[in-house]
Amino acid sequence: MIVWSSPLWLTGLLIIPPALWWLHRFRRTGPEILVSCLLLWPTQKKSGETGSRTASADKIWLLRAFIGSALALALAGPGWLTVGQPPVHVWLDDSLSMGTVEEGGKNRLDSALQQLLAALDERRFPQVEVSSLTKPARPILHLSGEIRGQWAAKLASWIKLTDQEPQPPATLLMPAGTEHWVVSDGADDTLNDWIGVAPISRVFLSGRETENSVIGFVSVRPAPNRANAWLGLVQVANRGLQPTKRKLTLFGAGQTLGDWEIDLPAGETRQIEFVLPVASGREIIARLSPRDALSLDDELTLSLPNKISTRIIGNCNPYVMAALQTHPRIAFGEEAELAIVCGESTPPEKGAVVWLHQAETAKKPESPVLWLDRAEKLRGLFLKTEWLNVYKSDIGSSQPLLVAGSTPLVTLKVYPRPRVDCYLDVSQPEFVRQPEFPALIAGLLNTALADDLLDGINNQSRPAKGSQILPQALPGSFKADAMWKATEVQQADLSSDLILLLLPALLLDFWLSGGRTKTYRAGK
Amino acid sequence: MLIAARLFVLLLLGLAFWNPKLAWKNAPMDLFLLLDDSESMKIAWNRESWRQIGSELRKFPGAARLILIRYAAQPATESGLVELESEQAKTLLDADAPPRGQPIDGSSTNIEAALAHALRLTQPQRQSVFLVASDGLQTRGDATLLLRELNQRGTPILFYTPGSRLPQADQRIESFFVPDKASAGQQVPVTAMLRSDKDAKAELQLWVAGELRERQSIMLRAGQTATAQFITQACRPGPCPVSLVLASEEDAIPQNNRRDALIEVQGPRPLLYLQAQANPAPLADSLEKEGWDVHVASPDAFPREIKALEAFGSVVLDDIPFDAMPAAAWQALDESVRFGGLGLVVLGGPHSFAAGGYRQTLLEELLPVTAEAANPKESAAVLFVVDKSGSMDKEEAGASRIALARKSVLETLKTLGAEDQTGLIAFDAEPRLLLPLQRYADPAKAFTDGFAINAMGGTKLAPALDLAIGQLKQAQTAQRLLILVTDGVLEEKDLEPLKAKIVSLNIDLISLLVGSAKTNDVLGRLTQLNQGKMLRVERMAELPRLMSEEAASRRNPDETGVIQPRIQTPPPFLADAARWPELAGYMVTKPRPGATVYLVSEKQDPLMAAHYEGAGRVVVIPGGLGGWAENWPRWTEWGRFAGGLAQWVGNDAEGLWDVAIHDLPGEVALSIDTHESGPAGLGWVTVTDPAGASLQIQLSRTAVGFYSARLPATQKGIYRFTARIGEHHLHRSLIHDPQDEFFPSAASKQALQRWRAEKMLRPFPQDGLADLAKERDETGTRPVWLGLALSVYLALILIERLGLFPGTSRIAKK
Repeated sequence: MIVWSSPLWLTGLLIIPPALWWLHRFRRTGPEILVSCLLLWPTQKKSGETGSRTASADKIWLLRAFIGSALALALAGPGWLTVGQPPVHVWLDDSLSMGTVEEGGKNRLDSALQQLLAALDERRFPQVEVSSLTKPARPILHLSGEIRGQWAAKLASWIKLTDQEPQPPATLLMPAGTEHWVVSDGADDTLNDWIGVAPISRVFLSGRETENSVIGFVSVRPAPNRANAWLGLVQVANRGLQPTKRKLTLFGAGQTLGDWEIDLPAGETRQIEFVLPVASGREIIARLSPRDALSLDDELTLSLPNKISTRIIGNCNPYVMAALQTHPRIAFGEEAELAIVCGESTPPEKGAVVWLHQAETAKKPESPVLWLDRAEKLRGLFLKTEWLNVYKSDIGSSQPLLVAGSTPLVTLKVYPRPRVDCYLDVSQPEFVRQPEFPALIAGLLNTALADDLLDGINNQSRPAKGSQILPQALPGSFKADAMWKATEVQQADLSSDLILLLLPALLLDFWLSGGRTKTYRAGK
Repeated sequence: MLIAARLFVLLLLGLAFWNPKLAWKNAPMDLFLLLDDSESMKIAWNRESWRQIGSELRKFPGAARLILIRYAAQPATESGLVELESEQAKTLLDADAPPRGQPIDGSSTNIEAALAHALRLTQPQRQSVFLVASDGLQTRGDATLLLRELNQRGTPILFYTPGSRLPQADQRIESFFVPDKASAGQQVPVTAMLRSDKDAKAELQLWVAGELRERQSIMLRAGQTATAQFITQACRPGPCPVSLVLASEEDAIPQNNRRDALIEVQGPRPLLYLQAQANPAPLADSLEKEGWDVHVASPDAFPREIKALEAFGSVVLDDIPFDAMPAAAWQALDESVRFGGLGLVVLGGPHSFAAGGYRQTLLEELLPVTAEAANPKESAAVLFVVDKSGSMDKEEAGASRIALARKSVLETLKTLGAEDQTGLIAFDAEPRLLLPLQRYADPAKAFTDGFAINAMGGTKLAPALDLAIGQLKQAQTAQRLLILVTDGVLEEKDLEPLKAKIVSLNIDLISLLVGSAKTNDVLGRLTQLNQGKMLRVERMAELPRLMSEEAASRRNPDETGVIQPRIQTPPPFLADAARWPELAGYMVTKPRPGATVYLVSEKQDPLMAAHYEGAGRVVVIPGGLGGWAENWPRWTEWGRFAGGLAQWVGNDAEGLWDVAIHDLPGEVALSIDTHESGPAGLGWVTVTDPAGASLQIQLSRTAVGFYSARLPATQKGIYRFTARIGEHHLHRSLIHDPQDEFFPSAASKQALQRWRAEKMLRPFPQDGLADLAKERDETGTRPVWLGLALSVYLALILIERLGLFPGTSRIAKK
């Protein structure tokens, strides 16, 4: 369809051709013929119509009328409205809820992708890019370079559902000159709000299921009042609209460790405590049965902490050895993830290191000692200055953890591998008999391994929102139809084509009119 | 000439085809001004930024809209879209300082959050420009990725840093350690690491609870650290503020010369024992003998302010009537229990609960019981007799006496049961039966409609009493109450006839003498006959309360006799006691939903009940530990009971739990490790901010015994936490004063350098608004060239046809 940007110029079509005809009919001109004698005039060859005495207009008016009309048309700004095909950027909700299996056995993601591919099929040569909404840093998938028949497979292999929440981009950061499509199940409020304000053209929604129960987290910690036992906690939640009855089973080391029948009213959360022997395998699995629409969140696996393989290098004094041997999480071995270096031996090249330095002379610290903020839990360990003897320290590129004045006494270096250097004399009799001594050794091990070995909590959890599968209505501010049309319609400018057409016509006109200015001289 | 003209037409057409662009007008632009208002941006720097930016913006040649966003830990939009050329913008920019209408936490700088906030406000059809004014320290978040992305999209980001940078010579307390808890009287170490940029002599001062405890002179060497330590004694149980101050001359940043902390000093907190009688109460006596710090006081000495109650761990009210303390004292008690976790024990007695006027009071709202019977007594007949003489028209407390009498009657109706019969007589010289004595379906409506009287006429009391007795005589109820409100006098001659009737009908006469009524001995004698009472109402505003208390106390009275407590739930502090001593009486109460009733009477009335009201545990013993419990102090378990009760109500889990409180910008992270199994999800924390506002948040349990919560903290000062998990609770306090702005990490200091090195920022004002103003809308010029081409072409034809070109001539019309 043709559209005009300045349609008033079209009135030129009514004025210019008649005016030109009039000029050529009634205002005919011819070349001025100079002759030496009037008698010679009739013998001169006449050019075209010029000078003719016919009643019709000069035929060149037609060409000129065309040129004038075309110029008027070009001024009117003709454009051709087309259904454009801008590139498509697909924002894909790859949160866990898209894995919900709907009636008919198909999951939400597959249904939504089917809709998406059908919509893309309506386009002849679409340029398509796909971005993950849960992992904004993930590289964009460019489908345009792929064979069209393989798009479905390419998408399926690219998508990895995660329990992360969607993080929609700011409008300003969305590619310009592109249509933005969203594939989602509408179960995330943040995403829905974004759809309401972002320049989104189409949304492919799928999903009706509302009922889902989830294992929110599993955690274990050493039991304080039982030897060789874990105290565990598992959280189960009903994120659906109906009450449900589920069976929770714990597995470990290939066997069932326990099971519970749980009645869960709608929206309720239950926490179940359990006790496990330490010898329950390397991991425990909590599983809900029977599986519901979103089975991906019906199971959670927690790796259980193992003993830390530790190697002793050098001659550690009996007090240090006693502190290590009584540590419940330390196991001695050669293939070690932790090395305790006593004295000036060479530490191994791999694994974390706790280096208890020794030197010929040790002296009392000259200033009070202070744990710095980065010492974290060790800050609570009060060391009296009078208990301590210290060696000369070398901080190098490490960070001080314990200082006396400007002298570092314990330092930490994180890269390239964790290393804790201790310049306290760990054989000082007054110090080694204090209850703070084994606490210091345990604290140094914790610092080197960045873990709380004695009372660490092992936790595996998933975000609560990831299991929300209830589809919500899109915000009222989202008007897909209006935006769809606005982005799809394109206008092609035709005035350039008209100008191109005009150039040869003008040249022809000038060539044809050229003869009219010829001057004939007598005798020529 | 002709050829030149034709070539000119061709040239014009060529230009039309090329369509060169020309700038016509400014692009629609939104300028986002992000102003760092964190603590590290000193006030002077902030003003400097504002002046500089203001003068540049005033010079901005084009049209733009301005949006002002102040930011620190979080952003806040101060002005919506303001046209830069508008008067509003001029007024805004002419001000000495930026508007600060929105509160923000200045303890950290989050440029990323500010940019993200501004991004959300951008509009796709307008050009967005970000102008960030900051000292370049980002102590929270990282704006690098966002800046990089904006750069890739060609969005201009102008960055303004104040001209003056941090002065070099600074002395500071680099690190500071104070134990977070200590026992009462314990010596605690206070250790600090100090650093100076130049050799300097300084003094380090230790302040404990606002008192200068110690000072040390210290020589600081340039670029070196020094440690200093004080050993000092902690304060009394409760939060103990400790401050370390480094006093030095010529210090660039004095804000980093002070560190504050709180030590939670453990130990049984003092117990405030309130008793009306002079004799020592058995419970207070026993506790004192056991070593408890018991402060015995009379009700009128009860603190009126929460601050004064913070020193106490619990309060015992021993048979205290509600009107024994003013409203301010009850308010302080209420807030201390709910938000401060103050323990409260309410002991019954003849002046407590219903008889003490607890019904529908602030105190009753705290209790695990209401001051009413679970099974009300048999129905009663309650007749109100109200004086409507002319003197009752007098205004007091903002209302006439008659209006207050009406209000009192309506209030009192609320304390009566649905089975009770009620009636109303008004009198002046003559009595008038306004509402006959009967059971009303909706007594409140009946009395509201029926109590339509104007005060006028004289006063004759005897006929009114006679009419009232006549009405009560007809009532077939177990109890008859006559409630009289008057400022009149009963004469001696009327006494005997009325006396006989009142005695025979067993009527309880309650007389409320209002205004300046003379001492009314005759009426007084009449009220003493049964369970009557005469009250002089000194202040008319108290009439509604006095009347409803008296009515309630007669409808829900005490139970007396030999009462053997029965165990419903064993009290946790004395779970092994199989038999409890007998009581001689108790006040009848009704347990609230959710309260735990430990001991009950044979009638299932509560004898000991408790619950948590907010953060504080409240225990009631309606029989009290006084006259009705004379056997209790002789009980072999009395010592365990008294100590256990005091400990339980003021129970503090200190020593049992590991508590970690991390002071973060804008929030406080609290984690509690109880190391034991517990009731699922039943952990709560009540936070009181420095302004006194309180908030209760459920703790989330992420492992057995491990609870945590993140609590908003936007004001500097002391935050008080009372955490409650299962049967235990704990108090902690924290001085919220994040120091990130004055002790930034190396990474946060280097951020600006990195952004500049990567050319992510355009320096302002050297490079900026003037350039942006040049970025204009460009429009094609094709119509101009086409128009010219058409005009010249037509002119050529016209000239040609008119034969005006040399060498051509017009051919005359045939």
